[in-house]
Amino acid sequence: MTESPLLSVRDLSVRFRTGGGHVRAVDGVSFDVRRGETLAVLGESGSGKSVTAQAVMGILPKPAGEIAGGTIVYDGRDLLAEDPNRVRRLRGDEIAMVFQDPLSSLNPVFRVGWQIGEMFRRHRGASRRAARAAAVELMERVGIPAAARRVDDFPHQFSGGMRQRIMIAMALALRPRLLIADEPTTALDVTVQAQIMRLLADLRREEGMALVLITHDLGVVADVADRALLMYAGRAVETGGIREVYDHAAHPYTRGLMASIPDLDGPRERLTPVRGAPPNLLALPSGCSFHPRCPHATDRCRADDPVLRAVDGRPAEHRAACHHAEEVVAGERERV
Amino acid sequence: MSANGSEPLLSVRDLHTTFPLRSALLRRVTGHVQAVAGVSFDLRRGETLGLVGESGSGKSTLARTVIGLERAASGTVTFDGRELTSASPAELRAARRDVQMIFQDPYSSLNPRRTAGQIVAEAWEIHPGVVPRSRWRDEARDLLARVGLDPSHADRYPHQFSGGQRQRLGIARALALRPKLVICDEAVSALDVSIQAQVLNLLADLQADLGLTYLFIAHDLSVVRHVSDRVAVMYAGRVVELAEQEEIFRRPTHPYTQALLSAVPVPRPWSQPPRERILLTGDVPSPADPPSGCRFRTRCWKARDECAEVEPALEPRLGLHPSACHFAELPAAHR
Amino acid sequence: MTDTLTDLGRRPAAPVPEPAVRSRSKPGSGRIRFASAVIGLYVLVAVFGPWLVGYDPVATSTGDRLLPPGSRTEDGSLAIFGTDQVGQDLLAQVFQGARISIAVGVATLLLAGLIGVTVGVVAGWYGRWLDGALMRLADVQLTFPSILLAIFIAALLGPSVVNVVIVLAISNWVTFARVARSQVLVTKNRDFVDATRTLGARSWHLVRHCVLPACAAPVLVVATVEIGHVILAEASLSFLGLGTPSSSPSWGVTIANGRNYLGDAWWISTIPGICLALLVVSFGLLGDALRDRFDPKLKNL
Ligand SMILES: Nc1ncnc2c1ncn2[C@@H]1O[C@H](COP(=O)(O)OP(=O)(O)OP(=O)(O)O)[C@@H](O)[C@H]1O
Ligand SMILES: Nc1ncnc2c1ncn2[C@@H]1O[C@H](COP(=O)(O)OP(=O)(O)O)[C@@H](O)[C@H]1O
Ligand code: SF4
Ligand code: SF4
Ligand SMILES: [Mg+2]
Ligand SMILES: [Mg+2]
Repeated sequence: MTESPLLSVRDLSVRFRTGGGHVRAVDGVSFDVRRGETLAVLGESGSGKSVTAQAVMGILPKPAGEIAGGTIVYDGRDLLAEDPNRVRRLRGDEIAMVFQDPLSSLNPVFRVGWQIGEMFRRHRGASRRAARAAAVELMERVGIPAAARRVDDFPHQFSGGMRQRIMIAMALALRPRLLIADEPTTALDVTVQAQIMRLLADLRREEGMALVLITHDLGVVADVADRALLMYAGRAVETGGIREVYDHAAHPYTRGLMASIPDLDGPRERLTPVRGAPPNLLALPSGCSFHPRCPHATDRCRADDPVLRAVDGRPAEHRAACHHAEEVVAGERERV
Repeated sequence: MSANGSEPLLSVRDLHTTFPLRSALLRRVTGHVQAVAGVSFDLRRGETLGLVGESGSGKSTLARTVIGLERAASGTVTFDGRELTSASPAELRAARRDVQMIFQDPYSSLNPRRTAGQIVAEAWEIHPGVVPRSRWRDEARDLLARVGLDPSHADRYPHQFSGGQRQRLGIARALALRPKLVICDEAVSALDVSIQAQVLNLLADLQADLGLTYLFIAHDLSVVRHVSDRVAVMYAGRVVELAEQEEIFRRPTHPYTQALLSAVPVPRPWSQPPRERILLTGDVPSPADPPSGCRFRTRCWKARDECAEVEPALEPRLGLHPSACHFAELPAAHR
Repeated sequence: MTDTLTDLGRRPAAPVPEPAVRSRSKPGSGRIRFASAVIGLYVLVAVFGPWLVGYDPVATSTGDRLLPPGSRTEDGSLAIFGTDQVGQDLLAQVFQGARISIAVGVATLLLAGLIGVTVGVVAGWYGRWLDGALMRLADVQLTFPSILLAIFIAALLGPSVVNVVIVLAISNWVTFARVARSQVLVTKNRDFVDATRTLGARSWHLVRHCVLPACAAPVLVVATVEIGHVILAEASLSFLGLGTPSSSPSWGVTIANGRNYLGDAWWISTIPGICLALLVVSFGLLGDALRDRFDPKLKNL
């Protein structure tokens, strides 16, 4: 663990200006992404996953959104302090991103080969011919059949899964060292989702790049992720090795999410969902913002905001933001 | 009518629904999309039939045809002993009171300009005599409470509710006419997992209390397994396998069902014996130009010449449930 | 393929909508407040002005001809805006003109809106050949110059306020029809319309409860944008002698009367001209601001 992480985010806060006041969409989130590893960022809608990714990529919607604090250090360089132009180039070359909706992120009026080739022409100064050849190669690489024939097709001529492959091809064009994928399979069918996840896992292994996988679906990433980061209402509430977190969840929210998922095997029991709904970010509950939904909540939870900390008796890497993490791990029955 | 308990509540026979394909420029009809291509099934009173399949396989079109939002090209839909495809508009309207639908998108399925109370009461406005006007307010509040909403929120507009609450509101609206059959078209697909679980529990409670029959459409197999008594698997406009829930998940015999099941992500893969993953290649065929014979053959790893020539019928195979594959066999683990 | 968007399977609901997160300083608030104040003033003047400062269309007072703004008339009263070529007080005329111009504008919009929304809703809702036929009719209408129509009707029926309203309504319904139709097309495929249909609703119920309310905001926006045009068009017609008769002197009539005296008495044409311009600009401003707020999609109408 002496090697410095590839990406190190510390105390990141992002706020949005809205009519009702400032919303802290991301509030003091810290995490590392090590070289070559896969980090899964999990959480329900609105928990701040995408905003975190947008902050790292420098694509927060302006002027509504702004970074309110914290640092983002990539490979020893502070992205928030350095010259914006150099950072922009770095973000194109070394950090790439894949979005949820592959149709709206591709330009409908340009041929896909041209769009992939654009990366080489712009960033590498490649000739048209070389760029086109490289595009075909990449399309083959991401598993598009008959790539040489389809390189001149338009985005709408591809299915959703194929378009997502094209997006991945574009992201991979410059051989990034960090790929951030925001819900890359949410718009896709299960069979296609399985193909894309397999593709991402293979590419990560072969290219040795680090991968940040953002999703709300705890099942999708279990196979491929090394570590997990769970977010709730803009906070990181639990982090650790993925098996450790899934098998010994120390935060009641993580437990609640796991219990909400219907199983493919095992008995068909009544589900035990997390009660209530996520809070309004403009009026966060006092203390632990999960307390109105938490079966373990005590007076302390209503007063003190828990910090992300190591859980006694678990590996040091496993951290949870809960006053009663130890009891939760011990599997104490819910006090209702 | 002849509504005795043993006959099915809904009976669909050889249903076809097609959409014209028009050229972009002259809007001339250039072909037809067979969105539903010969579907038959029965729905028993009080049961939940799950309908799964990839997007574009025709699940929504099937549901919309059953409920009369699309016109069937051929085939019959018999509800509670009444044949609907040939019914008069008045008969249809009467029958429709008994069949209601819950939509996927909790944002677009509620009229943004009506309050929660008005949305629930709209059905009584349309069918005078079901509930007298003087009782609308109280009945609407009862219904809101029934689906877990705060009755004092009856005067709020949809945008003032969260996604899960809106879906509850959609459920309340569907229940206003005390239907016998409720079609849930991806009713929980747009919800976050914790909210999805709450809504699934609500649907189960309502079924137990009101004796509802559900046609439950979803593409999430874990959800379908959780709620269904029987499951139909659709592919490219046809039902390819139909069986009791246990059977479909334990002993699928159609290659497509097997592939679908193996693609379902498992939350804790390490806690299970390693699964054989079947990764399908290729895409769903265009419904405007489906393959000859078996529609799955362009992606099927078992396809042979016969599959291109003879369309496999949906009939019991291997002494088990109906499956539309010439070479139906149990998954490797069972052999 | 068409369904992949609605079937975004496990796409979770968009961030929980919290009404409070709505923006408070909505776009265009300043513009809306300013334009509304100006328009409100005009409306007050149109309603109460002629009542305060009486206007008699046949009275003439040769001694008071062409008095510049601020002069005293023979009977000693102050002519703030001066007088015209027959010695009429210009202020009274401008007040009366405001009443006529605004009344013509509102009446025209009501009529054009009624025709346009009806046509648009019918075309959009029933679609197919009816849609084709009605929209071709609209295209024909657009290519037909309204001046020609005005000459026609003025020649046929003689000039009158009612005829001006008819001419202007016929020239203006198309915009309403287009907006209403596009709104119907968007709305009629929304899930909530299908949901209401499954409750057993007939077309009339669906149009009344689902479609018309959805048309209201864009139609209002269009009306605000159009009313300026209509008032201007009325002035142009009147200026050309095809509009309101001189017994009901709209601003256009007064401007036309003053055009022969531009050298000696600039105020006769200029003052109503400024009043007209200010009102038209205010409506334009308000319309644009409302459009930005409610319906940015209507940008290029
Ligand atoms: N442009 C914006 N203006 C104002 N608030 C915003 C904006 N973008 C995001 N937010 C708010 O920031 C919070 C976090 O949003 P974010 O998109 O990161 O959620 P997410 O975890 O990615 O959810 P999902 O699973 O729905 O993608 C939400 O409360 C959202 O409403
Ligand atoms: N109104 C329509 N016009 C033309 N094609 C349609 C229409 N509705 C659905 N389709 C087509 O019918 C097929 C089945 O669609 P649908 O029933 O929505 O599938 P599912 O609900 O299983 O995702 C798809 O190919 C879809 O593109
Ligand atoms: S700190 Fe308290 S309220 Fe928060 S998650 Fe832990 S037990 Fe629940
Ligand atoms: S009939 Fe042939 S192509 Fe179709 S599923 Fe069976 S083996 Fe595959
Ligand atoms: Mg997101
Ligand atoms: Mg569907």
